[in-house]
Amino acid sequence: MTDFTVPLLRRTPLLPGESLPSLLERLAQLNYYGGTSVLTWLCRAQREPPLNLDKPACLRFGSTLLRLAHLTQLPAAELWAASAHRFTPLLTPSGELAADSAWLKAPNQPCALPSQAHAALRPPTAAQYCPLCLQTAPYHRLSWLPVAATLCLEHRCLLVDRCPRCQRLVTVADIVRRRCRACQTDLSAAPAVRVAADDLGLLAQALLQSWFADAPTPILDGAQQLPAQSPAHLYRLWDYLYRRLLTCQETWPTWPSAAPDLVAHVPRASPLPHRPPPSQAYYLYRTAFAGLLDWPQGLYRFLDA
Amino acid sequence: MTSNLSQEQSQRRSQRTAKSAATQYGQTPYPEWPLERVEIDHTRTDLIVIDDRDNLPLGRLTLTYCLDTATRYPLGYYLGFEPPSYLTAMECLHHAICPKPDVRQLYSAEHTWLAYGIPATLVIDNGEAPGDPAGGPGRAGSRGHGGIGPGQTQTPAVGRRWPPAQTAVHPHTHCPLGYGGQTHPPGRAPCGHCDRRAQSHGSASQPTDRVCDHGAGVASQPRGRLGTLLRPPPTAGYPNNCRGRRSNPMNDDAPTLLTQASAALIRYPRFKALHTDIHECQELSRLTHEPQCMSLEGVTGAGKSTLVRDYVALFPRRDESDGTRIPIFYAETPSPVTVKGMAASMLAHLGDPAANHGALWAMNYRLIRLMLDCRVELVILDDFHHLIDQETNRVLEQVSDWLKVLIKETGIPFLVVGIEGKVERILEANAQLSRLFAVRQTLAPFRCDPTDAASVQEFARFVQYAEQAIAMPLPTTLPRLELIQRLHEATQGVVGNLMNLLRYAAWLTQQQAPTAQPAPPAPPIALATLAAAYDKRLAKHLKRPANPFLVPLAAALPDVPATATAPLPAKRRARRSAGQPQPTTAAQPEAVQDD
Repeated sequence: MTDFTVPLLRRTPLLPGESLPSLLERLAQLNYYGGTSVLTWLCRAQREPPLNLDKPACLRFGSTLLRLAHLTQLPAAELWAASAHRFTPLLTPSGELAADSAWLKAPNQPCALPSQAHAALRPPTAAQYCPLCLQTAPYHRLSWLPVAATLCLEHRCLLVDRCPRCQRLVTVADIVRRRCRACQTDLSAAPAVRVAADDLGLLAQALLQSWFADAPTPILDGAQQLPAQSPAHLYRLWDYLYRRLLTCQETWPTWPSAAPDLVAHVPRASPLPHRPPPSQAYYLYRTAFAGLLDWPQGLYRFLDA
Repeated sequence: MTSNLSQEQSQRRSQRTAKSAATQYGQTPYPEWPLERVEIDHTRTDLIVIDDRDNLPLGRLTLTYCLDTATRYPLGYYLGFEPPSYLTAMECLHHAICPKPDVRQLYSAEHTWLAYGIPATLVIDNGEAPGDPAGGPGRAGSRGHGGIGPGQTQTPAVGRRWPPAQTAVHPHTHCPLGYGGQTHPPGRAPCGHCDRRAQSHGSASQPTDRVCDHGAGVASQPRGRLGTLLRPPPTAGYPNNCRGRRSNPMNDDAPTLLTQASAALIRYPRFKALHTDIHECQELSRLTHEPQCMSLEGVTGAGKSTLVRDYVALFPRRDESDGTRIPIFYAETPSPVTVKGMAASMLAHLGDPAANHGALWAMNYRLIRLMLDCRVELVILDDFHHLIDQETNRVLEQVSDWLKVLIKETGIPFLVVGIEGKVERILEANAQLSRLFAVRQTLAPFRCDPTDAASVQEFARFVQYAEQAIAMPLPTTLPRLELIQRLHEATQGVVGNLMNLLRYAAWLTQQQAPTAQPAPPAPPIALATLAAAYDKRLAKHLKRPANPFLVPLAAALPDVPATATAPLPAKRRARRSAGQPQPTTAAQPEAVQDD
């Protein structure tokens, strides 16, 4: 009875800057499927292993994307640009550009994005959001997907990853519904922590997010020059410093103090070291960024500290 | 009067004001349909033909030209040395009316000439009109024969036409019974299809494979000629949608008789009346926000499914930015039917790729919401009699209850279609469901009662158009009336049976003459072929004791003696006494739907 050749009855275009998991959530809601599992099933059905294990929210095969494009009647390139594969040039070790067309030419081959790169991205079950953006339009932005992105550049406030009331981790589905699935709290009512006065943190986030979005990088003055390397290599070094800070922050005797207005919002240590809250990640990335500036003197100062 | 007004105004105001007030230009509504208005004119070309042997001038050519105003498609022309006259106008009209199948061969043209047909209105230019001897050769006036004046129009006298205006009428063939006046020769049925693209884009020059039959006519030529594309406007209130039936792409270039007959769609008044009833339910529900449901029942082969599918085709699905818009939702009742099976089947027909996914409550919720989101205006449920369990012969109350809830939850009208008697039984078994179905209609077979001339006439006309649909004449060895009666007895007046018989008989005839081409003159179907087709295709189904085409007429019509005082059959008596509507003289069929 199931006809896999027909598209979804209710469809919607991608909203500006929307992520693929968010689109899937909205499609599931529009078609009254109760969750994205039906869409996953539709993408997997009648396919041989390992294609039948692919998830549209975390794509590995181009054929899944092509199937999704047929279901949604959206261009495959547009869906690709809304997925985590957009970050492939930054997250792959070689920093090679992976064109969507090249990937789609061999749809049954695994994608270029390595599995370890997913550690740099937040899963749909532990998403983060900007409460002010959510008030404007309730959907999950692609720019909120990287762990390194901890700040909303538009509103200059920290992202939030928990329900303001019950402190549960929010999912992409919660963000699309704008409500916590457990306590039904309005997520857009979460307090926004503004960091407009923290120039270093703002610069670090602007630089990071420009790399992820493949956008023009902010102009740095003479004393803040970065090493003459590609963004992919710089990001790897930056991320390494961040992870070192994350693991040794408990035992670091000379732990630099946070900005005065952030002290109350930055936890001393994360209960889940592999998944720090955005406020802590913001501070750690900001601290690690100091090691990259004024190369190599900045790194020496960072190591001395 | 116009000139007086113009004179007065030119005296009182400016000449320009008077001219704009008195002009006739643009006052006439622009035609919407092909052949609705055809303009004819002639011009003397600036070409003098020189004989290539002796270099002597032969004369100056006159071009007479017919143009279809709605589509701007040339219908026909005549090029000759004769000055504008009856001859040139007649030749041009003849060329415009007749099919032009051999243009590519004759002139090595790139495209076929699609257009032909009888114009509904013939418009003559406001100058010299062809065909009036009063004006003399080359300067023919227009006041005289035919009563066509400058700027006036003339509608060709085609007698009593069944499909109006757009039907091409061949002057040589007459209806044997005299019901239709004149008709096409077999194989040249020029009307019956239309291409909405021709109407919407203003051009009919491209062949189409879409068939539209908003009006009457015979769709016996699936594609390839403008004449077959020409249709009148749809019935008032119907949207201008094309039906999506496609001809067999494998046979587009050389359509066989069988494919022609299979693609044929003929309508008759009852067919159109039921469409109107369905449309009324749809519109009333929309206006009153109350589901005005309807039931339609009839014997098997009566054309119920074809009728509703034809209606569905008038409202095609549309892909919009937010999804699919489904004005009419057609679904077939599965068999055997359960509540969950019914919900899954309806979701599948709706177009949900995950139709059978989820629990019953989830499927119910999804079905209701999707029907509302897709803006369904009418649900057509075919094979509704499947709600009667075949084994126990009991109405499945759970399903009928579920259906009642579905109608109430959605507020969308339902049209249920099924076998005569069974639909009524299902509705009566559930009082709440019965209340929702106020309109109940029956698609009855054709009658052919010798005591009722209207019924004979209606069936005869139906047969006549079926004959055109198969593009092969029926036997002429019998009187036409007798043949009609035999056909009725052989098919019981059921549309499906008749088309089944004629299609197979046409195929047998074609098989017997393998070199015969679908183009006229097609060989007539012999009586023996009809008898053989009956034995092969209908005898076992109808279980009649004798072949109506082989026995004498009196034996073929055992229950209808050939006297005017013959009693009606029991079923007909019962129907009349029950007060069901009977076909009347005025209700002449316009088309026949084959299965």
